[in-house]
Amino acid sequence: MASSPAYPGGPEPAGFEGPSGWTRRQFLFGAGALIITFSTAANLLARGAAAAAPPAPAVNPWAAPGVGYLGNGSPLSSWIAITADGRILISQSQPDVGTGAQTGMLQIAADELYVPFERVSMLPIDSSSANTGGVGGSTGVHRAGAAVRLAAATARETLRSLAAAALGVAGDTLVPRDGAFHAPDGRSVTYAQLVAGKQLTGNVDPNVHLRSSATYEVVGTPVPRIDIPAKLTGTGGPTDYLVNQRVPGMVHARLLRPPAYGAQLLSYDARPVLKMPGVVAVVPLDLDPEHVPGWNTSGITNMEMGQFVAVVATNEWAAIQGVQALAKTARWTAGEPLIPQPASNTYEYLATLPVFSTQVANARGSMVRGFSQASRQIAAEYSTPYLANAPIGPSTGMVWVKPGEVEVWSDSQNVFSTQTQVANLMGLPTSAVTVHNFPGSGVYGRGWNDDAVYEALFISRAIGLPVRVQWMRQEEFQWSTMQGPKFFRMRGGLNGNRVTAFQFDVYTDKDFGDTWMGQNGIAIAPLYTFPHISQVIHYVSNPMRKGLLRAVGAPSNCFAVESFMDELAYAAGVDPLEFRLSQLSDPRAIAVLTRAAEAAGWKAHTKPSGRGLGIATFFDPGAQTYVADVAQVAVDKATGQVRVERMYVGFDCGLVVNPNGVRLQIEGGTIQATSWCMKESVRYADGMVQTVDWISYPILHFSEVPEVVPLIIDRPDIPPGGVGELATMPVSAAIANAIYDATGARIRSWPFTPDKVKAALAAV
Amino acid sequence: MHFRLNGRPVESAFDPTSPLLYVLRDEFALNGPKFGCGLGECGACTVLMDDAPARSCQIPLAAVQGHAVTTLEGLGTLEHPSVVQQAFIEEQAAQCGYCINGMIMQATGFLKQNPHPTRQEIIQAMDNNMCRCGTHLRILAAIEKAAAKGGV
Repeated sequence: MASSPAYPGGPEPAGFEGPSGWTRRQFLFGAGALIITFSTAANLLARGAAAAAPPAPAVNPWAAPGVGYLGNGSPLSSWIAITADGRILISQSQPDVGTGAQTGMLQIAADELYVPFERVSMLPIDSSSANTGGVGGSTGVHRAGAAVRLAAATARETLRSLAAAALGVAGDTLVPRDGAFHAPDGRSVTYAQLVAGKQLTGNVDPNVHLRSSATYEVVGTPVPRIDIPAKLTGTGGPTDYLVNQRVPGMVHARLLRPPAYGAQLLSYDARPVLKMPGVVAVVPLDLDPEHVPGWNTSGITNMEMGQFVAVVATNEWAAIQGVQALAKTARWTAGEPLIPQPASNTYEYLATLPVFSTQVANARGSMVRGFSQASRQIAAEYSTPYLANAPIGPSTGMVWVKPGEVEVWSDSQNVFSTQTQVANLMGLPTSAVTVHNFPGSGVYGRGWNDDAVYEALFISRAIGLPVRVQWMRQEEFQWSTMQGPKFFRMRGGLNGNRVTAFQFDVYTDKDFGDTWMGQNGIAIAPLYTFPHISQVIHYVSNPMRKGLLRAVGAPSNCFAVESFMDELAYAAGVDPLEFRLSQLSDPRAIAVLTRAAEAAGWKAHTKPSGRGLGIATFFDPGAQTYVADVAQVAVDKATGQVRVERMYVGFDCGLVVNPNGVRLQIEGGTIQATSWCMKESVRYADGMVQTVDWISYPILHFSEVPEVVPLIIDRPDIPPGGVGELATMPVSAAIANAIYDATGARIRSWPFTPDKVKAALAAV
Repeated sequence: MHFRLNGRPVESAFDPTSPLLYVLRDEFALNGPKFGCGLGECGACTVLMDDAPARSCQIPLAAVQGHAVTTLEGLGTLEHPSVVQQAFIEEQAAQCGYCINGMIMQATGFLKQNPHPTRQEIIQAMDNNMCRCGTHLRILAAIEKAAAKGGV
């Protein structure tokens, strides 16, 4: 691509060679290759829905989590390629958001193909990489990794057939080792030799023979993450961060937003702004979904952005100054009224709002029978506030609308949802929209929205230049999606030391698509062997922008469930650990609890001493991973200040693909969730969020971070489960339970601030 | 404005009121310093000014006249990382990594002033650099490792 300065006098950009679909692939495979795609199996599964379809294929449990990705029916589906120069390339579509999942997938591929890790690499992700979906739900290694495992094993077995023919021996006598098949007579042939000069394609076989996990060599070792060295040295180029991508002719946009949700733009004066040096254009836009044809607001990529004015300039500072000048002349209507934030910040009011939808997330037995069997009833209420995703890097997107086509540079968590939305908005086929994906700041779920891309799209359409939009810090806190608040009503029936009935009602400000939320985030399946369970979600609404935050509501559910378990245990007069263990039957659940308790020297205190331990556990049926925390805290009774000293984390995600990666996710998830429950709460007033920076919305600082003790139970005989979100789940309940153990004060709402703890202590 | 950037003399034609961050990113096409808050609160934009950590989003270009500015690119390269960069790589001290430019620059400046810090001194020195992924323990371990190697 020809290089030219981004603007007169600007720097010569580095040559930008964006990946470009088939052209890139033809280049890669010119000298010969074997390519195994995920597509036919998918077609097979799709046909399975039809009347004449064959039964769904039987699948090895190690492959089962990946079958859902097989065959989205696209000829450009994901694949693994063995090239004639000895490289093994994988194309799949889940970006690595900093969890190391891509490194884990490559470890799996290396082992199935019997090659060293260095031989395997992953291509940059774009909208032709399709299709292991987007990143989320802790599915990277667990599900996409299983699909990669199948493709790599299919490639190996295809190569075995080729080798058998080449060497004139039976395939089952050949031994794969270090990228070659070895015959009993000592002859061997490399994968590269087998594919040289050929263009071979095949489809993944969902029933292919998988290598026994007992023989893995790369899986199970702490391979360093592939993305870290470049991130720590500022290398630039197509594997660097989105914010470091520079396209010839690129201009910068900053946005003037309404002062309140729903405020309409009345007037502004662009003339003085257009006279400012570097300013290129002032572009008013209305992205109220009701005013934008083609806008799909039903999915994850919701959009409630309203009206704004973009100032476009040749450099960022000129754009920022332009917005500041424009703000002086802009006039807006009043915004939509918000339900006032309760002074208590505890959200009981959610239970008083009209419920527009109710969902039974979990039901077992009958509440009537459960409570009739109880000798005592216990009730408690809990709540969690609005939480910000609060990424360190604000939203960024770059778009170039050209005649008949659109090019997008994005850090979206799903290139396809971005591609489809852009195509719909522009009235173009998806084939006319290319989306390049780059690493971004961690956004913890917020990356499904890709707001800055849609804003850049409309600005670029207006001015025809490649437009880079980056939000300012205040915009990120005010206009990003947030996790909605929740109010929990818990009721339990006790008979002796057994729970006979467990009733969970949650009132929650609607996130997008209620059913999706219900199925994936809010529904938790207690492993406890209670005979009667009811879990119901009541959806209410407040006009704030809601979306996904890491682990999608499960940590707040776990706060209510596992705090209430502690309250039931104390009501029954039973040690909280013993109370849980005696009502669990799953050995993996028992093992993580026991492991964490033993490491922490578990002992519930009978007399509050200011220091305490608290325990909580969680099982995610989707990720198939178990976690249990013991929190160790010290409480200053005079100030109410809680110091979380140490978190012991029992963790069982089946086979550990990369021990260092799993440890880091345990540390990270535990620390992030400690921050949520100790410090965080979005405050709003006058129609707008008032927590706008790191002072008004503090997160955990270095001096407040607990020591984290990961206690991983490796199970090499069980397929790997999900990891990324799991460590966040039991953190807040373990800390609240530890505060109770230390002081006798029960804290039933996030965040556990000194004022709240002090008030609870006064009531003891 | 004339200043030294990663060891060589440079001249900027930008608006002297522009924060140094945008000069580094937009005029000199550097990748290390990141925009995080523009308020001096998070540390993602940290550079060294005459060997001391400084938040480039808070320093007007006019204030760097005659000074020496070092960015992440000026510490080491992918092939030859600095001692601190190498320690961060060995400890795998990054998740998304967006804050890590600031962590490495802050730590490098701190270790130049205090080559043999206690863990508590490191925590104090890093306390106003924000990390959202929860990489803090790895970052502390990396800085301790760099200090133990006796260099930056």
